[in-house]
Amino acid sequence: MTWAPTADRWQRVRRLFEAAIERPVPERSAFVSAAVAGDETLRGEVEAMLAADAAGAALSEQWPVASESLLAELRIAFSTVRVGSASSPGLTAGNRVGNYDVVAPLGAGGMGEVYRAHDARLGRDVAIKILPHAFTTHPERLARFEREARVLAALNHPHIGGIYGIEEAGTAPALVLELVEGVTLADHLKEGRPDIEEALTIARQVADALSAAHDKGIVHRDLKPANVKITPAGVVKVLDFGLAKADGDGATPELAHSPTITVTATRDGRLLGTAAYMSPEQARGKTVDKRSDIWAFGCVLYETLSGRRAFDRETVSDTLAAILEREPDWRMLPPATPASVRRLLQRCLEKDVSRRLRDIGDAGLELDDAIGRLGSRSFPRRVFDLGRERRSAALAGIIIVSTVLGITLLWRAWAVRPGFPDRWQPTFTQITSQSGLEWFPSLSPDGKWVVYGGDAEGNRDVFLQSTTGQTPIDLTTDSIDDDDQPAFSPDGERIVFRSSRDGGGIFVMGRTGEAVRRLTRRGFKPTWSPDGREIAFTTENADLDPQNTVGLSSLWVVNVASGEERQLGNIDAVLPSWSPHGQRIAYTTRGAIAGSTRLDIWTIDRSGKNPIAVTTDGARNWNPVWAPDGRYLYFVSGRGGPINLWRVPIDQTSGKTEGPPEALTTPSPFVAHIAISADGTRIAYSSILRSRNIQKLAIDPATGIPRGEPTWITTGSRLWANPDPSSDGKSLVFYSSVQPEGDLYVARADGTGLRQLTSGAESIDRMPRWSPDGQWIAFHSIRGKDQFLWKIRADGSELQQLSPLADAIYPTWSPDGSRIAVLMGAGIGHRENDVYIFDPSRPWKDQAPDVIPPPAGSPDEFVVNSWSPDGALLAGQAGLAAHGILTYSLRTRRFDRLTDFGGYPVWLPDSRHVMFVSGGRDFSVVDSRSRKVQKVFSVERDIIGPPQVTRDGREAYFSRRVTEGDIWLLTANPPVSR
Amino acid sequence: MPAGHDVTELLDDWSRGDRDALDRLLPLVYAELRRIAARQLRHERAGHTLQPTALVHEAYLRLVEQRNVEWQNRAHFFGVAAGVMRRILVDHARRQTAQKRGDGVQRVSLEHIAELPSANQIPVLALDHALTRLEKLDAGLAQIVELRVFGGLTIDEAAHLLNVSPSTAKRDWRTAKAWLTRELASESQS
Repeated sequence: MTWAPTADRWQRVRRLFEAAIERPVPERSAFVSAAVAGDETLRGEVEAMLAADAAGAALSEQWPVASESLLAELRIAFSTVRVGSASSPGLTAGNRVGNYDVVAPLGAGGMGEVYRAHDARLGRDVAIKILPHAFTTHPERLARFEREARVLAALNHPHIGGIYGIEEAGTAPALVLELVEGVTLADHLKEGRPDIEEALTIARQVADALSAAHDKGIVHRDLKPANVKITPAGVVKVLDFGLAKADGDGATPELAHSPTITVTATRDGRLLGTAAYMSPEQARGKTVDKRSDIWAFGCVLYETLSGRRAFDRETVSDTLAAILEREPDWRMLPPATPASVRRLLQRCLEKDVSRRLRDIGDAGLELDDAIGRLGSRSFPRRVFDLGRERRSAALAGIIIVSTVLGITLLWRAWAVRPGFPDRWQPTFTQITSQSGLEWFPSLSPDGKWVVYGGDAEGNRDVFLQSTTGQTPIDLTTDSIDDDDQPAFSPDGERIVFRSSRDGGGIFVMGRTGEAVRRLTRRGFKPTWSPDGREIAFTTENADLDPQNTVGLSSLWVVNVASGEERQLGNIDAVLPSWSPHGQRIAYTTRGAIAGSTRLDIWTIDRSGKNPIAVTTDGARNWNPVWAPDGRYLYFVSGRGGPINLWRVPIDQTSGKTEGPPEALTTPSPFVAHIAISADGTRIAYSSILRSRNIQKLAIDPATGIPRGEPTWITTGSRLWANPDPSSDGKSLVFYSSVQPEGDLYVARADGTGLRQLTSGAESIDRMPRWSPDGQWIAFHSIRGKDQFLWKIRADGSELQQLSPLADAIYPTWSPDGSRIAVLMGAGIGHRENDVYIFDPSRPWKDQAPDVIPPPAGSPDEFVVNSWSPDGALLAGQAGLAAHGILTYSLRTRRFDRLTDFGGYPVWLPDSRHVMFVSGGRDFSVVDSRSRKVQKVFSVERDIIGPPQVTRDGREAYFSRRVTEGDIWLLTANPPVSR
Repeated sequence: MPAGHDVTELLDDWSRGDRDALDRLLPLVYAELRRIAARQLRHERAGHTLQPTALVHEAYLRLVEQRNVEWQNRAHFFGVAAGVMRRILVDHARRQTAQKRGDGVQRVSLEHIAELPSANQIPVLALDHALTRLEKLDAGLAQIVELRVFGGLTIDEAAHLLNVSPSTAKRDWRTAKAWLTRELASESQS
């Protein structure tokens, strides 16, 4: 029974309750009794409230947990959503604005409504643009805008749309503009891709306009094809200069800086719009300057050449993610695009603003040259016929290699030079070459010795080695547990390290491995105080990809002599480093969100007070290490691409930075775990190399037990995954997750004869599955934000979408090839998490799919993965996160749970045994009748992916990820930091 | 109305008394939050639910960190977001309930049911129902619950937003909690 008092009654109860709780508990009953004056019902009601008050104190604390990856997206969404509304125009024909008669609306752009108006005095038509609301509420913004408008008006540039004046339209200011006839570049591009010469000529004029404006200190802020108009005479005019949120002069960083996305609310509440031309710094909400225009110019040039947007996804947040993280698909540029123009594009679309082209004038010169070289060569005006398209696509495929190379070299040439000041004369020496992963080096104070963690002996051990020698000494050879993360004491006599022995903790030993003693019962990555009396450590580990997967990792200090521990602050910290004069500890803090890759560097006072950020951009900044003189903090960062070495000047007392970070680019593709010698002339680090390739394992068809060792089918750095053998066992299909991710490839079963099957930066194709007749490959493909089911012939022809329903994943062929089972995720147009079985040879409209609802009572959906050879059973895993193996009988229509661990099951030929992967380390086989599980194959330190078994059950194919690490030594002369 | 506002501008307008701004703001924030939430929730295991306050805080941080949004705007933002969060969570809970009812398939015997939400969590739908009743009875109390529970506002922030003194807000919160506790307890017994 719920309680439904009248409003009056409630107010009485409430007043009495609130008066009662002001009194000490023992007095309350008496108080209430007296106050209700014999109204027992009222007394009961107040007492019930008091009882609830006592019981329900924790109400607000009982809130549930999780789903934090969502927050990452919210970040972007909230910083960038601009709200517009599909509103009716405020002016109609016949209205007057100043001396102008409104003729008709020209359409509402993101920046306000535009009208055609007539100027009777001068007998010409003009455009009148009502300025956005923002201008009316921020006088200083309006003032600045007026100032810029005057400058632009005076500029009178042939490629800048003219500004005639500012008028009042009702309460809103209105701009009177040159009415430029013609089409916008956006519309022009819709008709087809211009030829290269035309594209470059258009871009040249845009660059000219920008250059003139930049010279006067005016930034466009919202350059995009819709703001570029091409007159019938072919003259290009850039419109809407400075209109995009002309705001304060940078002294007041406000929201207004960033959003140049225009979002229109449609009736169904969806947000439409494009962020496609935003620069990374705009996307991050930072101050916009002329280099943001240069980025936008790069986007426009790319789009004009390729006919496609450089960064475009279905949603605003996905587009922004692409801008921040992805390269444009350079293959989309016409093959004949001059190399100089490609380079120019790369320089304009450099994500790191400090590396971006500085002056748009340079772009103009570059384009002039390119146009000159094209000379009178003629290009087909438009490519209409499909055959030609195909050929150019093939050509684009061929040139990809050279383009990629171009990028790499360019990046190197660029980064290394400014990276190390000339006087450094850095040399780089690889000092370990054991197999496996050597990491966490620490240099002895004299720089002659290095200790590090390595796994060449099977488990992780601490090794000692001369920095000039090649022979490592295993200091923890007696330990069968993992010993890692060693650090020399400041006097060089002792080594502290993390060990998993006896429950795990921090241990100290002499520098040659003697006299091991325990310091703590937990903790990772110990770091010495400069006086050698204390050691800081963190409660959680981080090695190569610091990610917040388990919640807070707190920072502690232990006294080496007494073993006394104290916590520093209430912070998330991994990979700490103690400053040379001892006052502060630098550390890496991970995004608050589980799974976030956002990493920043902070420092905290040794007292645990006053944490201060060193970096705030979240650009995967981690592993801070103080220079011996305390004037710099070295760290590694993924800003500007691969993880490399950076440093930032810092005051070690206050923790305040004293300048921007600078890159010290090493030749390594992935730098981790920095250590600096006491004299500052040497930096040791681990150079990490990751690969993922396909392996083949011969197995017994009845039991799945291997017959021999696996062999490599592919090599190299393309990060292959998801192999699937054709039923005749002669071919393999798999995918590559090298950026741009998600193209499918086909090769012979021995890895030779590799050819690309699908391409395109706009799609990520995954989970290819060969049809039993070997004719088709079904796969799911992320296009926009959703995944759809597609198929393609093994020869690359007849690419077709199988289902219009979004979020169809894990296509699984029936053994006769007549059906496909697929998991329908949370997309639109179907219920969540059903498995559909349909006929892939018929169009979707003719389908009557057999629907299998997810297992009742289970929190996990059935992720179908394999169809038994006898056709009777499906095998799949519970949930996308693989919480065990399930089968589903198509006869009884019931699920059966075989295991509570592992995922991606595949049937062996007997339709009874199922092979699956668990933990990225083991393959096991489970008998679907007895549910007996047998582990058949394991790897020590690599990560193995889901197996796929040939029809005869004699071979299993899978991907294997290998991480190698070697210690390198950077020697700089003169000293690194003096 | 001119197009092209951003969230902060709307918040700004709203805090200066433009009620229309809220009407314009709400559906848009809602749409975006909802879209993101829907996408993420599909990968959630049933044992997990959103943590609304963390979600809103994070969203807000994004505004604050970079833009020096004034303090009172913070409360305003949370005020808006609280309502949005409530709706998202309720919709999600409804869908899940509908889904569970919808499949008539034989249950698999699973030992894993233990991973389902712990008993001391307050079901979103029950809270929503109770709040709806409280709204009719005492709108001010319902408001403070929404702000605190779904928006993660502190007492002081809620007080500021509701234009009452912190001590009043504190007392109201306590009263509302008692009422809700009572209501939820009686509901679960019925």
